[in-house]
Amino acid sequence: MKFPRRQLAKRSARGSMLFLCIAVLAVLLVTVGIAFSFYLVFFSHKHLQSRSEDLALECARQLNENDHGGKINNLIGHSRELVFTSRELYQRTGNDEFRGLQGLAAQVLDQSRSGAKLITEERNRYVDLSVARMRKAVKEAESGNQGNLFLANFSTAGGEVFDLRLGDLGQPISNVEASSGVYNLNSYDRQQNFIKPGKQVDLFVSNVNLKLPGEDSDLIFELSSLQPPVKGQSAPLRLTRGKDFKQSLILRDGGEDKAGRCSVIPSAVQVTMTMNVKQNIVGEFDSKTRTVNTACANGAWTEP
Amino acid sequence: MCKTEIKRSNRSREQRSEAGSSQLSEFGAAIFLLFSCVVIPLFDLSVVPVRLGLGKSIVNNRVHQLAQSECLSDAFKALQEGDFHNGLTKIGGFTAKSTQLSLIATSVKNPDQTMIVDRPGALSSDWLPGGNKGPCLYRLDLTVDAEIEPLITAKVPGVQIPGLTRAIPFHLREESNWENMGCDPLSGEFFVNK
Repeated sequence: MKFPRRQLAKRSARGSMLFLCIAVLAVLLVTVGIAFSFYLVFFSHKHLQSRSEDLALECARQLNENDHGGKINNLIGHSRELVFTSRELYQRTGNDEFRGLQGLAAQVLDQSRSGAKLITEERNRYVDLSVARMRKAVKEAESGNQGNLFLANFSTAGGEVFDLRLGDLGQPISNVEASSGVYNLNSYDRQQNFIKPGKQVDLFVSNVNLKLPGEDSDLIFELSSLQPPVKGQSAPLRLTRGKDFKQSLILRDGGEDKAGRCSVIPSAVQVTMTMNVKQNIVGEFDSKTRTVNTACANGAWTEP
Repeated sequence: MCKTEIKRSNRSREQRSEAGSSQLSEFGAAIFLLFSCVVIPLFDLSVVPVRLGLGKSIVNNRVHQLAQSECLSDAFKALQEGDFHNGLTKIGGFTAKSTQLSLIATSVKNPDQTMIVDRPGALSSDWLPGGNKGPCLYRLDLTVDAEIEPLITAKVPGVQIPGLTRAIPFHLREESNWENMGCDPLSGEFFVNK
């Protein structure tokens, strides 16, 4: 088949325009692709951030759910006072006047001491229970795969909890009010700097063994740093910058679960989550995005 | 080569060169116009929204972090630390002229009523939790006045055309809800005002 020469020339001109159009379109597509992958990296990071915040708040909620932590702190405070007064009572029965009551006083002292030990055991059980519930929350957050995103040649996968640490925010006070009813104990506590004086109330310090004097120094009375209620209102659950976070127990380190115990109820939790971001719109791009969030447990309620 | 073949080849060369030369001159001019008037300015300016997006993301991240501070004075102190400005400078072509942090209290009962404070301790008791205006919503507001440069700026003395001879001024504003609604048990002050 023969084409007239004029027609041939026209066709070659059209061909070059087509090539130009294709080239411009390709450049545009690559540019849009790059812009889109940038946007998706940002989007996936924001998504991971919000998932990490949710998990941190959920874990922090477990630490003082229904004010169990606050109640245990108050029980420890009362139990300590009871041991001290029982010891004083027992010592008073040492003289001739009350010697007949010495047996009874010894029984009261024994019971108060075993009560203090029982509370310590219960506190440890509560910490274990909270930890188990936290591990469950972490598994649920990971198994949901809510973070996985597939869009053309872009994908995000994982959203795994890399680190999970429990601790406190370095607040030196507990929710337990220092009672001035037992004068000797109060003056001993002030001498030992166990009490932090405030404008409205005096509070016991936290994360310190509030050792009793003499023979009862073997008992451990450690209070958690839960925020006390002020003006009848308790502090709500919240996210925090985690600048002063002090860890006391590592539940997960580098993606591996760790076993361990802590002697006080933690009041803050720090969660580190990571996510893999892959795209091959423009070359191969494989990176990891990471977020760290710290949440603080809700404060204690007022004692009824 | 026979006479007719030579004649044909000469004619086709003439035709090709005629078509080719006119195409080249037209196409060259078109390409020049396309590049100088569309592609290069577009490429030059397309970096501005990218820089703006990055800047906005950094400001948003920062205000979210600051809103998680223990108390308001901590938030103001943290803003003065160099990280924030360094982060914005690292974008490239982004100059933060001024930054302002403020706390906005909005009455839930009457959303038109707001109080804006730019230093700790300035919130009056009416606007504190449990006050007359309460309940209130507390938001931390971070405003950044910035200048974003395009890829190439043709600096001409005396001519001030944003995006061409000078950077484009932008006003970035991001907000985040204040997190710590508690009260200092020792001093009795609200952390939102401490």
